[in-house]
Amino acid sequence: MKDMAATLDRTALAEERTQLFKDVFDGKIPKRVPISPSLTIEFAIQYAGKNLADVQWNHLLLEEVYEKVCQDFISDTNPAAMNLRNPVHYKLLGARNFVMSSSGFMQHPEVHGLEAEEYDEFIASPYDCIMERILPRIYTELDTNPAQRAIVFAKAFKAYYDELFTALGVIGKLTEKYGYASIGGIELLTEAPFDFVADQLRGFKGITGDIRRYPDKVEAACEAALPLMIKQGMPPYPPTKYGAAFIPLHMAPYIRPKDFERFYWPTFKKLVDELAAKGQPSMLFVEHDWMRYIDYLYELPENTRMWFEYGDPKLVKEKLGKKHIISGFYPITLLKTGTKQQCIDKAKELIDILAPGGRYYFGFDKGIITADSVDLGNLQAVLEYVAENAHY
Amino acid sequence: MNTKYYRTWEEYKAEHPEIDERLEGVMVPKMQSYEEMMFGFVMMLLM
Repeated sequence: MKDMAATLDRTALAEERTQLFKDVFDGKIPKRVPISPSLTIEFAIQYAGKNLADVQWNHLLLEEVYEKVCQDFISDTNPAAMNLRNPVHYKLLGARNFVMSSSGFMQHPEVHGLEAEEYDEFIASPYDCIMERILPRIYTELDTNPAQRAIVFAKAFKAYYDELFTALGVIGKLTEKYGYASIGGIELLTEAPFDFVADQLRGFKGITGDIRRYPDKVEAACEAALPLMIKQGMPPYPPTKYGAAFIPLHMAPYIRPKDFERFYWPTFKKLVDELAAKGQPSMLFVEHDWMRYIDYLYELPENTRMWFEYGDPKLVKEKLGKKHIISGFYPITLLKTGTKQQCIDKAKELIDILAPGGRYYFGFDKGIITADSVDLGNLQAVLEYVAENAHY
Repeated sequence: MNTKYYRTWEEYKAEHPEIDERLEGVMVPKMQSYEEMMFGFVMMLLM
């Protein structure tokens, strides 16, 4: 009987939390500002007192690690973050782009898999070029004969999905156990076409030179990448207005406005528009400071979710707050340097600016990567403050 | 997609006339899901 009551409580809690996000995503005023902190897997492992490398290589330890975070930090979404950089398949592939350091962090060295003289090949058939040229350059174990390559690829494919499904199983179990919302988190990952071409195909250095030396080819490469990015942003089941493709935005703040207008914006806009037309909302991580592009963001489809790192929350609320859904801005550095009261005051300040009228959920300005990068007491106090005080 | 490394079911079926139409309904979700999983895996390798 007691178990049944607990199950009902968890179910009711999950329904209540899910409703908070449904209301926000529907443009209605929720009962309270929902909370979605970004506590990374690295944070969770360190917080549980485990070794970073051990847990990433042994997912049997995941549940214990995630559960401690669920127990100790208030959140409406499951705070157990998916590990996007699982070391197993990267190691099997001989990855140059993601390499585990001696401390257990997955490091991302600057790499490029596409040479400037290969733009035409990429533009003609991006997926063929990825398979034949780019992957064997970035993943050294694929740079071999076809039979060996097939074996390496098969092992990495299996490892990737084994690890992914194991983690999803643990996260699902904890979502049920702790009554978290079934929506509001990250569902899928895709990229703005320019970021895709820049990040690992040409690299930061390569792309910044290319937009001056080969502007037409960069433009065409972004157009060629667009269908892949759209496909990657769609779930393998009918999309809903409560799901989302997560799109972390990288390069825009590092290029000139006229380059943004020509190279970044057109295919990024087409991506978000096309996903919306297919019924799939986008959740943007608006990395760094996009204030000079705020009017562009307004042009995106209604109810696009925008998680801001830096910028002016008042300006964002004023310009975007009636059309889009806002999160972020809370500086995690304050959680390290501020007093408990200063941290709570900051949460109050942001809620006062961003919560009126709805279309807002509470989140930090970025994922919390390490347990020692914040004062844990401050973090708990802020989450508790929002949960108890941000009612409409 | 213009590629030889990803096939829709229709493209696959055109290359395999031996497929029993009676089984097609149960084959499609299985066969295509692996195609989609491979696509997702390849893309994640560059994200």
